[in-house]
Amino acid sequence: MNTQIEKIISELKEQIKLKEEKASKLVLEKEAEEKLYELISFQEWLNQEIENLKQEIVKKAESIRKNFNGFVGEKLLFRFYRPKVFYKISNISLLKKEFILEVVQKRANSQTIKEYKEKTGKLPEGVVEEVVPAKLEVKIKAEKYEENEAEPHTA
Amino acid sequence: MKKMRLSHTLLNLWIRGEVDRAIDYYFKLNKFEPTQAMIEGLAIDKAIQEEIIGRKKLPDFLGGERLINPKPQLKLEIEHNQYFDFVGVIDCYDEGRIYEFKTGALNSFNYLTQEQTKLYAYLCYKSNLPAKEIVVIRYSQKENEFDWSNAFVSEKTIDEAINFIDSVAPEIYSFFIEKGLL
Repeated sequence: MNTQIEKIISELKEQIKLKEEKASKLVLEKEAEEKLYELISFQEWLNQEIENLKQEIVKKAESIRKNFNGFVGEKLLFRFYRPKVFYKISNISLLKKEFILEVVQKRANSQTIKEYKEKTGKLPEGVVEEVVPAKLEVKIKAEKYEENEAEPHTA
Repeated sequence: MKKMRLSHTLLNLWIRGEVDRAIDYYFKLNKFEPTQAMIEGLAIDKAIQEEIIGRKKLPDFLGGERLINPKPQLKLEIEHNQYFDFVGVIDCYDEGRIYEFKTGALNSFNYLTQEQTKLYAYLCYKSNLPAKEIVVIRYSQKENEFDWSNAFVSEKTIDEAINFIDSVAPEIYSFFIEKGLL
């Protein structure tokens, strides 16, 4: 890597570390929120830049040959997934039978399994347990209104 | 010391556990009737070759790209080490670019992440042919459409090819010796 860029990235990492230290006090100090906001804004900017870059890579690849599918590098795999078309039922009463596929779905009965587990201390045969891990989320508030909040009445 | 002549097909059959087919393939005892897909694939291969030889370009169904000095179906054979030779046929070699043409359901990226094209880069390297880039172009008969993926050849590509051979071939060799096949 270019040494000048290496130096800039190294300095940036140091700055980010300092901000992280301050931002970790979010629920303790008022000023911490601003530091966390700066970090998340930077992350969003960088994500957007990389998204634009990916589009540009595809554009350049397709200028050589259409239907670019991917690139295999020493450190990176770049893959282009093309859009796929799926169909969803919008009004079943209007849909002719030939366009409907009936599927029998079988799911584990969480309620009876939970009761069985509580009673016996084990899972019924043929069932495995999967746990959705705990998750922390932080995002930038929408400028005008909170997401999912009704728009206030205007006079 | 008896030497084995390896190819990507032999190595691939072996890692898939298809020992009987690997033996049949090695001794050219092909008992298998070609499937419809294989017959179609061969016809497409023929059309590609004819276009490359006749017009120095890829057929339109693969994008119609102009080629410089193409060598279709380039067969290369090298000595890997004292136990093994390695042979392969590159679909088309053109001024440092290795083209591999595929048909079927898997897309070009899937093929490119497999070992075959790395082995071809290794063949070029050992044959003193410059290999800078690998391009896999997959043609889907079903959709009448192609897609492509590429990779640049580096020392790592060659190392990976050598490692692949060294991790599979000795087992085949031992088996063949043990069974009196060599």
